[in-house]
Amino acid sequence: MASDEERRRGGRSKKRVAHEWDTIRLENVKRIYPDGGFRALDGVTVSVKKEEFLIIRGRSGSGKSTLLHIMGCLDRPTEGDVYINGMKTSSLGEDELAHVRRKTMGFVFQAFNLVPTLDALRNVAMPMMFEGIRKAEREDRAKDLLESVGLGTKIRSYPNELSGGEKQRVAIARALANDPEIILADEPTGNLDSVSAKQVLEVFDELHHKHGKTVVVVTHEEYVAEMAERTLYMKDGKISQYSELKGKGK
Amino acid sequence: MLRDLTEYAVMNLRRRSLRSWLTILGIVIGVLAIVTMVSIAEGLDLYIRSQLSIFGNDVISVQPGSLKASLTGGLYGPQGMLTENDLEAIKRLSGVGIIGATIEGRTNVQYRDQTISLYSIGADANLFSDIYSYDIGSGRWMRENERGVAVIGYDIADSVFDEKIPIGRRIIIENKSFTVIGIGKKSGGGLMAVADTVVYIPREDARDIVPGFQGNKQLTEIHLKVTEGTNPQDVEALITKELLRLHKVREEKKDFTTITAAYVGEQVGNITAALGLFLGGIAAISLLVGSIGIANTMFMGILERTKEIGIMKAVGATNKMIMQIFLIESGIIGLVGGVLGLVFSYLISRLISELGVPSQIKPEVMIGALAFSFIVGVVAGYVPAKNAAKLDAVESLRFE
Repeated sequence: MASDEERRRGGRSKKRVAHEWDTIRLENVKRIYPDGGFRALDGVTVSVKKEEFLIIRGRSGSGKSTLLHIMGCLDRPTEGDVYINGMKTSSLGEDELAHVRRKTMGFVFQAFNLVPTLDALRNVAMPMMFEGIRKAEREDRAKDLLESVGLGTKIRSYPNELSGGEKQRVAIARALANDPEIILADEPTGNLDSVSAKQVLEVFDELHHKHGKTVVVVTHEEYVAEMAERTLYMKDGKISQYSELKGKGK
Repeated sequence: MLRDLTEYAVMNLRRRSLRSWLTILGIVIGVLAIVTMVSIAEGLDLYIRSQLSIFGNDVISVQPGSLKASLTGGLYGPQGMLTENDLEAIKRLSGVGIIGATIEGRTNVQYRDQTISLYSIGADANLFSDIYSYDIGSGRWMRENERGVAVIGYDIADSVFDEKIPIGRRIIIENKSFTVIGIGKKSGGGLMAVADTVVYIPREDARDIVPGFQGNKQLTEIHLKVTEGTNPQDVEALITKELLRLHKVREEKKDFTTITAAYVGEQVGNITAALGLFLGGIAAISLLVGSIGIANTMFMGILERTKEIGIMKAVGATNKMIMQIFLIESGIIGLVGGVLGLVFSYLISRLISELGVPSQIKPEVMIGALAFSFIVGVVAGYVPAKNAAKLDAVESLRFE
């Protein structure tokens, strides 16, 4: 049986291999949780091209967050293969996956996931610490990143001193700390008011258009889809539908 | 990287400062207890050795009965006696230099109208001048072939009798008159304090008056110095062989004991080492409790920081890095506890020394305590740190 994307692209006449232009590629990925055998992903094949802005939509429990986690090497598929820039990551060890995440991925979460006991500067600098960048250098860069998201005056503020929108902008700055190629965001506007949500989305848009980042955003928000080149709809662990905005993209 | 992880670990400890300090306190108490106990044992060892320093390296003492067993805490071995014949036989042995013997026992000593039972040592004149150095406070030591003279301990002269005994006065020991020609120097306490209450008289006089020695050739002890350049162990072996022959006993039934400086050192070392081990062992229990405290703190900390661990993994921390962070934290708790424990141990060691209990903290004990406390911290934190490193990133991020 042809996969969702292959069906859309006209069948599986040839065995597809991970091409160098696919920044992320999942091949027939299944994620089955051992407790109760719940199939969060059920044979998903999807590619994300370099510098693409992809939206993943779907109801709660449809598997969109699991898909994002597997794309970001935070989770492993039960079956199937994952390729990042042509490299098969589904067979890598824990530390190698950590290396891929550190070098290639930047995560933004709905719950912000900032370390509450670190100020904004240190939160942003954390990924650089694990990359082995010197303290002075990483603090300079963290400062620049916070300035770039409009938080230059809040570098010493702790998460509990920041608004939701500010926290999310700190999280975005952190995601960019090691200058990753891919930004993965899981419901980044889910906890924000409409004004803050708009500001955050503008940052994503800028990252995609100005900085050439490959952006994958999981969201419920319909209007977000307008920013992306492609929207992927998830249902019951499968891709149920694709939509492509003509004329969008770079 | 390690420096950054250490800085991060220190920051984490600071932010939970009360809990960190309480955990550190457990280690402080453990290290304090161990170091203090060991220092007391070390101090005792040093003290006993300094007190026994009068027993020179070239001196051999021969005593009746098997003492070896009793010094090591066992039962007395076969009883026996030494005689003038033994003394003469030993004198003839190769390597034996100056030699003297004693006749000792409790005697009634009378000064003016007061009679007190005191320990008297009848010694050859050379014994406390050429073999051992007896400190005379005033007067002089007895001369060879001198009779009817006594050297008395400081306390006997000063306070044992109602009246002080000055040089030149006569004392009556077991109905025989002696002129006091010397008074010992105050010993200053310790093991040698016994010398302050002993009466020293010529051996020939002691033969006449000390109960149990009249009309026989029995001696209490024989002491000798080996000739220069002779190994005391070789002479000791010769003495043993000769006395076994004279006493007609086999090695395992030996009824005398030869004591050398090496023997005394070994026995003292055995006793103080056993004491140190015993005291240190008891104290180690408190360090074990302290290490359980570290493990508990680390488990609690990891539970509270599950989400943080998930964040660290998401931003690229490897399992090894996460493990290092928690091991550094637990190691720091151990190390800080060790340092503070040492500081308090030093203060307590000084305090108890002031109170008269010998105590000494050796540099190797200090280094050992620091290394041990750090290792205790790391070991106690190992399982929690490993658990932290193994946490699933996605599950950790969902943790509330």
